[in-house]
Amino acid sequence: MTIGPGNIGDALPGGASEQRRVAAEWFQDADAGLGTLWTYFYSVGGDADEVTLDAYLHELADLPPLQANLLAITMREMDSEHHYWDHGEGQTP
Amino acid sequence: MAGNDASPTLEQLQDLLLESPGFTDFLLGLTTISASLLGGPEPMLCAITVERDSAPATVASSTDVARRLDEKQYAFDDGPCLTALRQQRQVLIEDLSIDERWERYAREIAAEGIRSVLAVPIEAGGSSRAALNCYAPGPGAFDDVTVRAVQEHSALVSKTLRLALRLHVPEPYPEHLRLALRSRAVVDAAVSLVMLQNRCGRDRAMELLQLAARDSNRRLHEIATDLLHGADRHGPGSAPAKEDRS
Repeated sequence: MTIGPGNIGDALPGGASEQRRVAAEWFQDADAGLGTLWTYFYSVGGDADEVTLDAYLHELADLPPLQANLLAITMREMDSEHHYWDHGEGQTP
Repeated sequence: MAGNDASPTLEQLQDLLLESPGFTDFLLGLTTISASLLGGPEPMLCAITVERDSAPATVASSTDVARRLDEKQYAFDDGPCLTALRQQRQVLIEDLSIDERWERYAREIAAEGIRSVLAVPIEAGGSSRAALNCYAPGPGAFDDVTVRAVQEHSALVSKTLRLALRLHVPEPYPEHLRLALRSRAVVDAAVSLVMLQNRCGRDRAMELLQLAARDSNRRLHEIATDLLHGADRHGPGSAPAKEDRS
């Protein structure tokens, strides 16, 4: 993939594998189940199946950069509204 | 046991209808009202079962015992209340311990200590069916007076039940899935709009949305909503639509 100016990849100095490691760590520490995470990811436009997401979160598979970035956004948003999905079964915006 | 003379006023039922956030809450309230009104010196357990269209039945019970008594019938798809519901006819069991027709059901619920069962259909209209089920510990608990009271009660709550069925249209998906679906639709529409405005591909449009979220530190859904409403055209939210492709 080509990363030109204005691409979101610019914001990731650590690169894709570092981004994946951070995501895996987040998932390990989070109380959210895979289903809850996938549903939120889906709700913000995510396009990857649950199995692929699971493999990515265990650092066994890669996601296309756009989807990996979207997953990072998903996690950031879930952090900021913890009370929503914590009580409901995967509340979304 | 004689039914309590007091019957719920229409106003009481109307209040229940207005105050219930969902159909299940309404049914539960109706069951509680029924149990307290119909119970005499001896306690009476009540449950109301409703089947709408081909959807699975909703059961509301005044107590846990009543709930189990109803659920047992669903477990083997037969029982006095299911008969009242499906055949829309009254079933009265004077003494469950000597009743041959319901022998199997009696065995199943022996531990609950119930001897008398009365199941009365409630007119639900349309393609819905409903029944009011009453249970009492002693044999012969439902004398003529009580049976008539239960019948009258069923007739009285019928209208309110029909209103409730119209008011609370069943939701095909649970709340959190509907929210996810709605949010996804907004994001998808915003992506399509960005594509149109920038004559770009889907991935690029998604990327621009993500950039806008990152730069403005706002939620993606909010940015998508703003874009669709044409708001914030010159603020951070407009960045995706205006940004030059490099």
